[in-house]
Amino acid sequence: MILLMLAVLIAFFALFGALVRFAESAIRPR
Amino acid sequence: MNAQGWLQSAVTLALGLLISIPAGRYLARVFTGGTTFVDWIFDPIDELLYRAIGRHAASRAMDWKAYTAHALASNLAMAVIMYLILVFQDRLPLNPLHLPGVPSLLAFNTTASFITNTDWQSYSGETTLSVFSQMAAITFPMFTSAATGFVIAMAFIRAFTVTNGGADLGNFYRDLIRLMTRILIPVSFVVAVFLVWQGVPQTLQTAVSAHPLGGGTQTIVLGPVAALESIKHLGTNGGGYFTANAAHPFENPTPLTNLIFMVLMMSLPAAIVVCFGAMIGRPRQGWVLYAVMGAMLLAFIPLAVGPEQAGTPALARAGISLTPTLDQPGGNMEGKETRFGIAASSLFATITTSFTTGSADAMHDSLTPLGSIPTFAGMMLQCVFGGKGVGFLNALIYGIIAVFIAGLMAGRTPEFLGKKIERPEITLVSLALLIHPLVILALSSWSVAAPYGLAALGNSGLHGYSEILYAFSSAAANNGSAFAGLNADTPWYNLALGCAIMIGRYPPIIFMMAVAGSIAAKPTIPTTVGTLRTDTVKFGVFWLAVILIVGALSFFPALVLGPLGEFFAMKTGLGP
Repeated sequence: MILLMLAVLIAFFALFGALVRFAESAIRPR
Repeated sequence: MNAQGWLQSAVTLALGLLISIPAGRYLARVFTGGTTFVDWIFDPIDELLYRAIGRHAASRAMDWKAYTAHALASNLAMAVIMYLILVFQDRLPLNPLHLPGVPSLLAFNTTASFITNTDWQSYSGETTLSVFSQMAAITFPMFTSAATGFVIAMAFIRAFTVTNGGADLGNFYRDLIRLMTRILIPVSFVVAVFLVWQGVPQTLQTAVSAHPLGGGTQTIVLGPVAALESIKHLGTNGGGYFTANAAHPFENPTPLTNLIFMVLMMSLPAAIVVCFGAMIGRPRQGWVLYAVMGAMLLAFIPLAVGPEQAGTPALARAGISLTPTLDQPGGNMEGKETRFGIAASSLFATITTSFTTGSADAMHDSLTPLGSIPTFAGMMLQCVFGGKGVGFLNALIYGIIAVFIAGLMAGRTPEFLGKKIERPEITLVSLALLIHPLVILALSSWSVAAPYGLAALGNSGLHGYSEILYAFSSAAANNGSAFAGLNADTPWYNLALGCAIMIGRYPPIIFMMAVAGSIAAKPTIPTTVGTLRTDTVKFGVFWLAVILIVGALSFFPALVLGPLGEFFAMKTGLGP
């Protein structure tokens, strides 16, 4: 359980990393 | 509200807002590379820290993406350390009460809460955390989480002033360290010494034993409380050393400490608006935003204090005198400290939710239904100054939407501070805006529909719904105060509130930093007669209207089901 919740915490930051890439694509000139 | 209430409110607001003006100018100097009077002390310390981080990392120019990535990476590293400290506190030093490790779900919730400046506490400080955990996993992130939100706002402001196309919005580590050494650490130190003088403990002695008249032994927990209390309020954190938070006499022993806490909570979030005007070289724009936020705060105070002084039909039926006299305060004193009374408690509740701190010197669950609405509104709007940095960013979200709507209405290209507002900015700003109501309303609804959500409630009916709505509003707004009455230390609430906290904090920051990158890359358009000016009273009123209308459209139905419904139920005799 300790490792599972640690993984959830890290997964959130991985998701935020993906959101940075999404935001980058949103502002990229077309 | 009586004369004493008005006077207390006026003095508190005047002190907090007056301090914010020189503080804002000082902040602008700190973040534009200017000199400060404490440089001779802290410059050598800064240098040591830059060397420890690595000269390249601490000096390189960062665009929005690098700045955000370093903020996220450093937060992740700290979160992992905090989590491990909590779950393994039984194997770490400074645990004389031999407390066990924090259960993993609670540790996840607490880590998410404190790394994000939320400070929601599903635990009881006295019986759950060791002294080491209180220092390393609670007090330490109170500095770093406050600083993270703040420096993000600084990078955002620079997007309007840089001429490098956004390649250099500052350096995350340099900004973080300068904020720490020029403001947070020195002010916290001075305030902590003041608190010790007022009676707040600051010791590594964990507890003393007392022998009450009724017999037996009472363990009274002590600890390094003053150090926590100072940054807790200055950094708009809010998590208490003790369960009773700022209602506990060891946290908030005198009316003077109560006043200082309120002033501290207001000072930096208000100062950042002054700093904004100074940094962009348009102080008038800063004052317009200041007036928009200040108008909401001024409106909230009588709306919070008035209903508490008026009391409730149930109190009247119980024979309690609702009129203040020389020897009793009248009104609704349930859940309030007699040391502070009605005005100071309601004022504290308004400030702690408007400035999204989360500290509490009264039981918010015992507020009258109408008196609780400003506390909900502060967290739902998140820009009645809001938390340091993020409150300011939220106000700019509404500002950019206001510019867009006004541009459409007037038939002009939307511009904000000389930068064109186009599709990418509106897309990202809309996403940043929608996350907040989505998280609050979806998770509140889920909790109401699920038996495991309802099982944790202390009250049924409309008030029970208010307790759930408040919890998710507090989590998503990174406020951290509790309505109480809800047993949040359950698997569902630890997980759901932890997720609400994380989603409420980082995605809006990421989207707003991308907006900063997009804006910084655009050329600055010179002001002409055709420009829609945003530094006028007329635009300020429009900005305020957009905040209130969007806020009401998002949250009014939920408030009707909670506190508003409860008010009408009380009035018609259907409720307590």
